[in-house]
Amino acid sequence: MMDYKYIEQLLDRYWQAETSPAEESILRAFFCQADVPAHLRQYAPLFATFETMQSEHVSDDFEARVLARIAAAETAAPQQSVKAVRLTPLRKLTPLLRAAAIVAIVVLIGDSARRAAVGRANGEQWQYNTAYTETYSRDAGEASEALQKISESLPLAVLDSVKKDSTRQKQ
Amino acid sequence: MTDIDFRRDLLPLRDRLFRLALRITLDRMEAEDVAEDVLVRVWERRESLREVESLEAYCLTTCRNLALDRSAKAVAQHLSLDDEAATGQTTAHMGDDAHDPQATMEQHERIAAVRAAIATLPETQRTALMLREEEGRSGAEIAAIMHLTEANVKVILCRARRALRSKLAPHL
Repeated sequence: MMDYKYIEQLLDRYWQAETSPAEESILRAFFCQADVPAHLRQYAPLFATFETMQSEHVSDDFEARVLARIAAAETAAPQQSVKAVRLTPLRKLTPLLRAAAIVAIVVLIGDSARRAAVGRANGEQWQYNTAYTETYSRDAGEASEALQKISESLPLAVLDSVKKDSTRQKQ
Repeated sequence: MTDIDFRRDLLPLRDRLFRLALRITLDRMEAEDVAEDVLVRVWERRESLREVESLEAYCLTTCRNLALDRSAKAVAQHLSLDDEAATGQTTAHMGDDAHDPQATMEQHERIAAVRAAIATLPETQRTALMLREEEGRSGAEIAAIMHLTEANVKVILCRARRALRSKLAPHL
């Protein structure tokens, strides 16, 4: 008489769902053979049932039916990739606009970085201030020149008018 | 994954999908319809499925969802007689090598009893049993297909097997 301890152990673990698929195929093979010992025979139909369930298959015309449906779907929508994409003129330009925007940003950043670098290299801190004073002094010079002209000509004009007044009074 | 080829990648799954759908709907006609729908649907979506890790697991999940949708509609006939009819048909080849007609009859009856017992289990248990006992899937694979944890799958399998053992004890 053979020792069935191993099978019994496997079966115990099988009920607890602790066996691996490999161990379960050992059980399956054991219970589907012809001479299962009497004390284990009661479990044989369970494994035999799984065996029969495993071999169930679709009816013979299944393949033809599904292939016909696939073919019909193919002719209805012949080019899969085309259907999703519809481009408006603006959308067509989107990649171009995007590229242009990136270039613009890069140029701006690059230019300002260059300016900053040049400024630092020349040891200048804020050109803004010198430019401002220069403008101011030049403007002030022009203004004072103008004022001077006025101040020079104004007394003469006043004298002129005074003389005219006095001659009128004399008349 | 390379391009999906219908005949190479999808068509060979037909019996597997059919059996999973059959365990859920318990109706051969319904199950064939489900299997057909799964194949057509997955084929139509093939462009978006190139990155899917396992096409087969994806098909099985889709199949279960479709079958559940259908059987929810026909929930009134949960334990259908069609399954009993299917039992007789599919067990016919069992015991071909058993020449004793009496023994063959008994074998058929026992298998029919086990199938009837399986049909009374909850759907999750029937599905997990199918994936494990018929397909030999690991706990992790079953968990992925059924959107459960491995621990859940183990509990479900354990309950299913114990239920079968206890329900069938008198018949065996």
